[in-house]
Amino acid sequence: MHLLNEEMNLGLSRNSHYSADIKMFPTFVRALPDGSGKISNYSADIQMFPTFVRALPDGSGKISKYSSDIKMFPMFVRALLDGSSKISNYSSYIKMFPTFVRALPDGSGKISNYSSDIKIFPMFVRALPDGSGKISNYSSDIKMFPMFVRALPDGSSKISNYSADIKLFPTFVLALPDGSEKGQFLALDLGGTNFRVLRVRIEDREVDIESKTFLIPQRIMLGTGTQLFDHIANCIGKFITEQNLQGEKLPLGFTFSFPCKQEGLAKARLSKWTKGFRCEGVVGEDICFLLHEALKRLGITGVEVVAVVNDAVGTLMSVANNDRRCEIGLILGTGCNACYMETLDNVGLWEEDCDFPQQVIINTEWGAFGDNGCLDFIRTEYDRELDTYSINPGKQIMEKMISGMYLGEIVRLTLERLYNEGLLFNGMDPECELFVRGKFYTKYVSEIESDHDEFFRNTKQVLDELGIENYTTDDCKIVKYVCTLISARAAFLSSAGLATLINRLNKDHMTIAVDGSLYRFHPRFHNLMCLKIQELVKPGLKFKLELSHDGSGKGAALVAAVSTRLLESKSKILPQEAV
Amino acid sequence: MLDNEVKALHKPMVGEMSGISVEASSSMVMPNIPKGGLLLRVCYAGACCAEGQIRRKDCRPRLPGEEIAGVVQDVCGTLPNSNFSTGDHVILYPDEDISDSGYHEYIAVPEVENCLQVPHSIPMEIAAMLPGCGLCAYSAILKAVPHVQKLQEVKACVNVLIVGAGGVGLWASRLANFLIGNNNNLKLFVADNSIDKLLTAQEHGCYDIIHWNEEDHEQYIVERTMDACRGGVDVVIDFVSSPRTVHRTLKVLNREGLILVGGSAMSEVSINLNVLAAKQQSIVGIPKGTVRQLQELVDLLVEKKVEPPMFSVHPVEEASQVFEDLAQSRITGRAILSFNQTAMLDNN
Repeated sequence: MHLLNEEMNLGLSRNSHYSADIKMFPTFVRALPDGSGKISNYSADIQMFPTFVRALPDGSGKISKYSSDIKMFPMFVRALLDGSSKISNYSSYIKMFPTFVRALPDGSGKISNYSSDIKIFPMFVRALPDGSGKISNYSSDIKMFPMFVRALPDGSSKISNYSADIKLFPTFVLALPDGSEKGQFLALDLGGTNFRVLRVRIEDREVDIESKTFLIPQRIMLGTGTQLFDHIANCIGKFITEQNLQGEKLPLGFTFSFPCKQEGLAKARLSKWTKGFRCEGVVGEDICFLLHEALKRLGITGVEVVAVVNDAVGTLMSVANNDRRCEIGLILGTGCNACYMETLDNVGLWEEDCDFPQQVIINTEWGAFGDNGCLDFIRTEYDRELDTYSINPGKQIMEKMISGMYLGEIVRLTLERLYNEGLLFNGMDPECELFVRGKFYTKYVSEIESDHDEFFRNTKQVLDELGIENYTTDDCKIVKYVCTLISARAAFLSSAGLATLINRLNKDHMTIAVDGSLYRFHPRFHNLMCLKIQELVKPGLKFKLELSHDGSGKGAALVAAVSTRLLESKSKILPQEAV
Repeated sequence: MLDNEVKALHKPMVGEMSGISVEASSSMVMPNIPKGGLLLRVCYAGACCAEGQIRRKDCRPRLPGEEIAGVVQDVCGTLPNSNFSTGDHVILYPDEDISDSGYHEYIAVPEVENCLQVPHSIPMEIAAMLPGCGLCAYSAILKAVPHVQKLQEVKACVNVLIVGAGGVGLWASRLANFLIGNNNNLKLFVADNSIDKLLTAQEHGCYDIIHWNEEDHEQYIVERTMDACRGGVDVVIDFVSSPRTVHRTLKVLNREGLILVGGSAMSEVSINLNVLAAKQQSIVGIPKGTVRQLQELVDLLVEKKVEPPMFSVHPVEEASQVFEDLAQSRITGRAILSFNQTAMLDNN
């Protein structure tokens, strides 16, 4: 008790030092069940840290209605609107990319007139390359939807604008047929140091998956694009050999979890590398083309990339397959990204269309939110330092406050500062790993926050691994507290983004598909998000966060299956037409 | 009894470079030949140090350590001539006394039973690997063999996971293939933190490699391991045996599975014994290999039944750099230090 008072006094006298970096904390302090601002009401944890409590921006006790993350909320809304309406200009910092996935696997129930096959993607039926309306050219499936076919006001004159895009729309027409779908597809999931090749066999609605994980050594992550794609093609080759699929025709769906400008279903140009990758000669290039070239170099015929999706889209597809109300997909792992179903009115590119379904999935790439400085009022010195030493300074600002790649580092910087100020780990060996960049893994945050008792088993194991000796129980409490603050901020920031999307879509019930190690393995992320989203959404809107299983693998295969089926039926009708 | 006191040219053989300091007592005095023993001049020594220790910088690798191959310098007169003579290539069975003695170029070996002849058909740098990592791996595999064979009778496929793709893991891979991999019902997996080491391990006869990235969440690692080892793991040979590796392997271990633990991790591991009992699993320490097993290993090499794993030779002057590289996984395969071959001491 004595020590506590001493520390409190010490802390109180240092108020001014903390004002800047505390900015990030007040929401959490206030967001405690006893959030009235009176120190004595707070849980035992907080009692030790009056410095943080006192140095609130509203230190005078005026607890304004909105926490700082809510302050960010309207800004995010604005950014969203700017982004989607100006898609062609990419002027906003959130570059919203239409993914050309126009409808979800289960068609959200609006398309009751049509056969189950087409039910799903009438939009794509509409945008057939030969939009002149000659219905008879098309397969019997499509014949059923003249309404859509003739819907383009002057389809032929506008087709040329969309020639690249539209060519690919038909590939989505027959999605998830009712059991008649049959075949074998490859899926490729590239998003980090591990990448997977999957063989997905679909027959009578049964989906059989075989997969193999391959590694990407550091030197390839930082080498040239040719090396990277050669390596990937090599691994695909190995997988094909192992699975005895040589010589077979294998359509491939590619989950490529990096920001891309999608120009077609199987044409995506990399906008920039994230998550530690930095291969030369890839930015601005079509990655499907690069992969095809690499496959050609290795003499692997038969594999054709028919679709590229982002992991957020894959996540969304995977859940939407079973849940009609799912229209938002979120990734919370090494990176952070979301996608959602947008109505075409808001999307500049599709002004001409006036029939439905007037929608398209937009990939928000919201990790880049804040690159123009608009989030600086939330950022702390730790964020700035992390950014300075990152592989892409000045970029992906929001992602750097949320995703798994950076969360551990923020904790580390905070602990380092606390140690330097003499508040933590007195007498620690300065040679230990706490001072090495990147050594505080984000998984430690999840593990530390899983301690629920005074034993701090997990926290101690982490501290041992970092080479910290002579720590006290108080040290453990402080470490845990810092982790809770930082992970809560991440949860709240992503909640603000999600709430924006939910409000925008304005549906009574909304399911959000989520995937990613941070969401899956952190003990409190899900609950924190639910709480915060509830606070921020318009009253009356209900939502649900649902974990997606293997969105990147199954999702990509789904897309490939759909696209292939369409190509096959198309080639039956129009054998002479070039794709 | 020969009485050589030689003042060798004092070269700073090992130094204090950035990071790792290699302990060396610079006594260059040639020791006396022990009665009934012999004097050995060290030619090659394996660089042994557990990765976890180097990371924490409290590792003080001692040279020549546990893996010594050398040339007989002199033999005590009381030994029968046929056993050893000057110029023989020998390896030394690791003994407590020897490894703690610090760096000496010459080692007095009192117990000649600990000295094994190595035919000239095996290069000495390869022979140097045998007493340490080679023997450890051999002993581990031998311990696993009865269990694996028992399982092979009832299971379609037995999965064996080797944790640690350093020198000892690579040896284990090669030896496992030889001793128990004859049928098609054995799948060998190797797991490690370093991608480069795993890529090397791939060339040593394992079915698949699994990247245990220390940055990944534990559950994610377990899931990926289960994905790779379809049907779970039946035998684990863990050359790291840290709390993390043991918990991961316990999560993927099948009923009646066996975990062999070794390694020099000093941390304590808490295990739920009830679960162990309920699943009829066992955890067994990897026994220290015997001299006889070491001899068997030499024979296997001579008969070319087993190929040694990848290795690289470095002059002992670069020892500090070598240990640093090992810690950073820049060296894959075994690192062997070669001692100054040209230090033919002048007998004045």
